[in-house]
Amino acid sequence: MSVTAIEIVDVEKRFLRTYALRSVSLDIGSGITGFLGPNGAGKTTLLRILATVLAPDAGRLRLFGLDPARTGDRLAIRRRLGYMPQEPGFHRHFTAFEFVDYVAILKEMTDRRVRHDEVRRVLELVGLEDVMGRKLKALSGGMRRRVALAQALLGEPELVVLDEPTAGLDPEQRLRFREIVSVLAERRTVVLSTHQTEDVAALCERVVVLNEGEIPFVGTPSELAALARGAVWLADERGPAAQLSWRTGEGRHRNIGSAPELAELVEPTLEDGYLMLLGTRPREEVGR
Amino acid sequence: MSWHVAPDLLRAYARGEADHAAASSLEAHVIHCPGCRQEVAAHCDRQGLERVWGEIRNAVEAPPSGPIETLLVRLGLADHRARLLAATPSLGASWLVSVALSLGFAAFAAQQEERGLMAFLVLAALLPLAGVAAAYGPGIDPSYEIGVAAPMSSFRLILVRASTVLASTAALAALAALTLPRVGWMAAAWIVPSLALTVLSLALATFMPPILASGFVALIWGSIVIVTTRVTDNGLVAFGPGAQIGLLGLAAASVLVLAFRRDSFDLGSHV
Amino acid sequence: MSARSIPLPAASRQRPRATVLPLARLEGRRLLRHPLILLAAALLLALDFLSILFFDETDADGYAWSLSVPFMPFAAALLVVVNLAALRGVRDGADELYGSLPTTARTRTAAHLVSLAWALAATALLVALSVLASMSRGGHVPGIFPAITAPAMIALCGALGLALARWLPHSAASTIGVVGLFVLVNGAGSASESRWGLLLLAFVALTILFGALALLRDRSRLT
Repeated sequence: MSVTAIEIVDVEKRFLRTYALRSVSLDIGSGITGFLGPNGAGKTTLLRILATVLAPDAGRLRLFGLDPARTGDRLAIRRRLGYMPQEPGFHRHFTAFEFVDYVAILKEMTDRRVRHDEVRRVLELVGLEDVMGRKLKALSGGMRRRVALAQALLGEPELVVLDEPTAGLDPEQRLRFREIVSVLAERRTVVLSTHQTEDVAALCERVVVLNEGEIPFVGTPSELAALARGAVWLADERGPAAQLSWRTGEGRHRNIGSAPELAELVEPTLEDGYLMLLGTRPREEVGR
Repeated sequence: MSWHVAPDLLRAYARGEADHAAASSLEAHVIHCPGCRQEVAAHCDRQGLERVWGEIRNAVEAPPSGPIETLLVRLGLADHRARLLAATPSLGASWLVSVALSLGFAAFAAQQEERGLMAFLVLAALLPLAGVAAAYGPGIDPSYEIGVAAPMSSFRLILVRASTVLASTAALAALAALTLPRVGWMAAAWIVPSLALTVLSLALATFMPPILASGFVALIWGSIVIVTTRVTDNGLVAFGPGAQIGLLGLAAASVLVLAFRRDSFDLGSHV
Repeated sequence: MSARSIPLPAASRQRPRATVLPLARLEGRRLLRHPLILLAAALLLALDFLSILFFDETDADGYAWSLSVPFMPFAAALLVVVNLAALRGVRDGADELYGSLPTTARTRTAAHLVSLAWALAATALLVALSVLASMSRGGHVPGIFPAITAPAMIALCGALGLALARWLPHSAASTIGVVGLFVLVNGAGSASESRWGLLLLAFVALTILFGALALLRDRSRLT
């Protein structure tokens, strides 16, 4: 049973004359919700609004029943929030430990012993216990992202907002990330955005597709995949009526669109449903 | 739709050989007919089209140049260099205004008394240093990492920026110096120090981050000035002939170091 | 692999003012470890050493000078270092993250102000060393006013560096601050002994002004 932690009603956000979000409405409860969508779809804008970094121009937003437009509520929300930005800034001369410790102080963990234990815990959780004492400038980009992930987990927040958390992680790290997040989400609300449909398929109980500031789909991953049922087939070459077509690793063509008769239909994946939904312009040879 | 594009018209069009009237008819038709659209697409030279489209987009989407950039281009600087210069954090209007103001204040103070003249000279000597430190480097220049990876050598970029900062600050200082009272050639006594200190800090910047390099040079030179002031009871010794020659020597040595270590700016590893 | 997490009792998280001290401690220590500060302190000590060897400071004016002017590089270094520290979030792009945390920008600014206490402590030590150096050559013990000129000047520079960071995030703005220092100390240099009190009052007043300006900056922002 999921409790509605986040209520978004008709939220709008404009940057000068561009609409980043057009009147979106959504309810998010506990568990893992994935935001999927192309660049510029509004994923990051929505996440920033959830992380109380940005204020919406219109609409209603409630996090844990609190209203982030009110200062007192906003601080209360932030005490129960963990955020990993898409571009986590890092201070070159801080060590990994010092940086996470600094954020921990900013999260009001004033007792030094407790705080240091917590910093160590989250750094171990993301697998950086061996490089805690190394300066951030000496860490690889992937390691720095893991530091950013670690700080988002400080204090076991009830709402965890992760913007592109798996960018720059290799497959093994991505697997580990999935482990961490699934354990995390047992009693919490996790909202993450990604380009990678595999992450969504493996992790998320719910998928929200964003496109051009709107939400064309909310549902489970299998429901999204089902959108493409009967419309995905394999052939030796690009189908003439295919909306999309690309060559798979095995040398055959995977086509999405109106399947011709006698086509070799296959079970649609999440990505097929996603592509079908977005109905993009025809592209040749999308590499796989 | 009864009329569709004939194959030979298609081929001619794709090669750019169709006459104007036929091409217009084809284009008008193709807007409404997906089948023919696909046929045309299949015939066209993809790469050529992509290239033309790319150029159009570049021209249309190029960000408008600001006033500084336009001015620089008019002065004869190449497009890309003008853009790089205009993007220097310390060449912006706010920097130039604050430099002008501070020099103005110092010149005013110099009217009052001799100590004011000292202050003016020290200021005029140190300002380019601050400007150069603020002109590049991680943590100051948002495009630093991109710049390091770009083909134009970082060293050249830094040289271009540093000399521009030096020139603009020197111009402002010269203007301010014109208002100084009857001090003779002392009014220009800051020129060699400002040049020498800037080059020295650039040379040091091949070993450490630019802010540290400039800071070190400023601190050490400032302390030397203080000591000489105390010892001789006449601060202007620090700007006297001996000092000028010494600084020139330092400048020469720094130029050598810079030339030798110029590639270190590209590695970016010491920062 | 993972240690058991220690959930924090809700009560201990609701004390925002309690974060100022731990933050100030962190910033104060980083401040004193900064290469520019260390160099400025080293130069100051070198100056003391030289003055033991060479200077004749039995006159009051020269003595007053030695307690203020040599501290100028240190004050300038502090202005720049505090400015850089306060601008860390802006320069390194971490402000996006800080904007999601319960500690407001104003609290962080307050912590930077309090961290100046570390610089003041270092200054007091250096002043004491200067006084000792001078006394070792038979100079007299200074009055209270000359002795606290340097700490007052340092506090002023720190507050100014902080105010500049909050109001003018462009990093080149610290130059304006160094200039302000210049003009100020110029005025200070021409003050004779009898006007020490007035001068110090001016320093303290300006320090409070800049500190208040820095804190007030974040009043109306979505913190």
